[in-house]
Amino acid sequence: MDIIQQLFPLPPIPTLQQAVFIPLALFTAVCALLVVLSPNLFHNALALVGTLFGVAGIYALLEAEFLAISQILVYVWSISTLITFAIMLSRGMMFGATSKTNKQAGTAIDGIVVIGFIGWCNFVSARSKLDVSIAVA
Amino acid sequence: MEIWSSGLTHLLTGLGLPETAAVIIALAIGAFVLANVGPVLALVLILLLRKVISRMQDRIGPNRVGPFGLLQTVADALKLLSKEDIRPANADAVAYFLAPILSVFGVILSLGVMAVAPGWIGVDLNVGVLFLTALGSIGIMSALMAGWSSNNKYALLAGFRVVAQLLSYEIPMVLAMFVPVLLVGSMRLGALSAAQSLTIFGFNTGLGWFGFLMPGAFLIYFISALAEGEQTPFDLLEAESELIAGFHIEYSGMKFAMFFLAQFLNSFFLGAIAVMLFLGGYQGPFVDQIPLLGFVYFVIKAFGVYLLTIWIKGTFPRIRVDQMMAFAWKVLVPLVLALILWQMIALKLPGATLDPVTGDVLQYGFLNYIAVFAGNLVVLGVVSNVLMNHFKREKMRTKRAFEPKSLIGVMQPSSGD
Amino acid sequence: MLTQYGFILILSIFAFALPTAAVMMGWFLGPRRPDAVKTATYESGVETIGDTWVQFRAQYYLIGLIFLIFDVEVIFLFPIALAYKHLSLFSVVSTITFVVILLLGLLLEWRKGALEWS
Repeated sequence: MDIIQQLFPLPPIPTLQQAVFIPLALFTAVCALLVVLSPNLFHNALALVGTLFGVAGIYALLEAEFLAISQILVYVWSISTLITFAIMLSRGMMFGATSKTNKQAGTAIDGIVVIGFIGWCNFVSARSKLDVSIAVA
Repeated sequence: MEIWSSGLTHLLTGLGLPETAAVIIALAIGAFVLANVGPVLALVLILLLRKVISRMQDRIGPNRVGPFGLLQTVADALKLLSKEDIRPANADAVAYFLAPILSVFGVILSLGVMAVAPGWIGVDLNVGVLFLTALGSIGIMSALMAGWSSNNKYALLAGFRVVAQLLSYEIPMVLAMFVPVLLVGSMRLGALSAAQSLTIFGFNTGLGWFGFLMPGAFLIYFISALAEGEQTPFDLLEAESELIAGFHIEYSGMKFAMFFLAQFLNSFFLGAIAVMLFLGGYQGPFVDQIPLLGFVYFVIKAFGVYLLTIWIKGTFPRIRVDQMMAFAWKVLVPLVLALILWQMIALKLPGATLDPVTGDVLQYGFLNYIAVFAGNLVVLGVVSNVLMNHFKREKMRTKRAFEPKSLIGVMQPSSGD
Repeated sequence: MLTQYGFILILSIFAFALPTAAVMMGWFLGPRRPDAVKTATYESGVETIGDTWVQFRAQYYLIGLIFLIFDVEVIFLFPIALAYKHLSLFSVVSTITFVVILLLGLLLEWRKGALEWS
């Protein structure tokens, strides 16, 4: 029981700053996922704007207010409009869905297996070290 | 911010609430009140526009609902509430829903940094001026979303035109806002308003407006703000009398009302920013003695600028899109950059009071102010000369177009007609 | 500092909730009887031909690019304004050089015809 609690400690009650950060980070992450996963190219651009706003919010949370404002001014104002213009100039991409996969599923599965195996090995060795350290303690 | 929230926080902690909760509730109450100022203000603005424009056009204007027609916009709002919310069959549901909401969102957020009286400011952010500029990006995104999601050729075209116009006039607007910031050395809107006091014999007349010192920057800001707020003569995307409505052509009911509200509030707030940066903000005689007077001054000035935009709306003809782009990039941007260069030199001229140890400027001298003023006068002259020439040409053209052919012989086709 | 941004956060929640509530109220109070003609694309009573996509001019992209340059310039200029009272002559001269280079860039764009909207 002790070991489980040491390995997976219960999350502490969040402070106010964390309580703001967690939804903000979730929003950023969900928007970032939408950028990649949404089939509609314009939705991707909008989700990118959402992500940039989320990142700006995180900067503001880190008390880097000028950085946050520059992020919005440069990225949301100009980069995102440039991206939308670029989408607009390419015929047929603005409306309708585009495929998200590129027929490389086999390679992807191979890669996942290899990386997963390496990660599992690392995890096992790290846990054995942790067990030792707990036992020593 | 501390001024208005601390009293409320003390009251709440006195009721036995913990410190953090009291602060949050105080802030939430303030934010709620501020957010509600927006829609109420919009009702007044729309009524004012209709009344004043109709007087200019020799009509009476709304006079049926309530005394002097004062409740007309309330009735309109209720009517819009009961209208059907039509969503075009091919529209994109999410973007179509979010676009009108975002347009209001960005505008209401700018209320948070308005310095309406000494100490009365939502928050005096360190980056206040840039914050107001950054909020414009939400307006751009909402226009793009509305144009794209309606799935209508004209809406999409108008959406991209809006973006091109806003992008072009954003640069001269921000650079014109930069001019007073360079003089004061702060982006806080509270500090900028406070810096416009003018103390004569120990009495603050409150007339040290940057509009007097920098008329050129003020004119450039005002013209760009007209374009940013999509007001006449830059309302060619809107063109109520010719085109249908621009990017919100497919919207109806309450969603349309949101765009309408956002547009009115946006043009009013751009005027309010002009008041804070160039027309002294809350400054005026006796404002140090009675802070409430500052609020009255601010409201009077902001409505004065708004009436000026209505006046322009009632009198000026619309300009063409190529003229609009050329005016931004070939007249305003080079001029305001030159003005900034000149001001950078002018502020480093000898005559300023320097800190003997660090060499920092404590107080700019007479020579600095005179040089700044002279540079602004030159810019003012050039801009007004360009404008006068333009309208003189337009007048000639209209005259020629309406005269019978026999009087002027063979008409020469002029390009761009 | 964080309290200030906390206020902005709370204000943004209200600023988002208010128009959402208004639109929702419109849903509840207004009728909802969509039909094929009503929800068709509005084109002054004419049937729409083809897709919404039409040929756009590349000028829009060019305007966006020029805007990007000046936007970044603004970001560089504002901090200079905040510190202007403390700047030495050397930094003032370098700032002026920076602005002059941008002005020359604008002139170049002008000469190359990037600012024409024809």
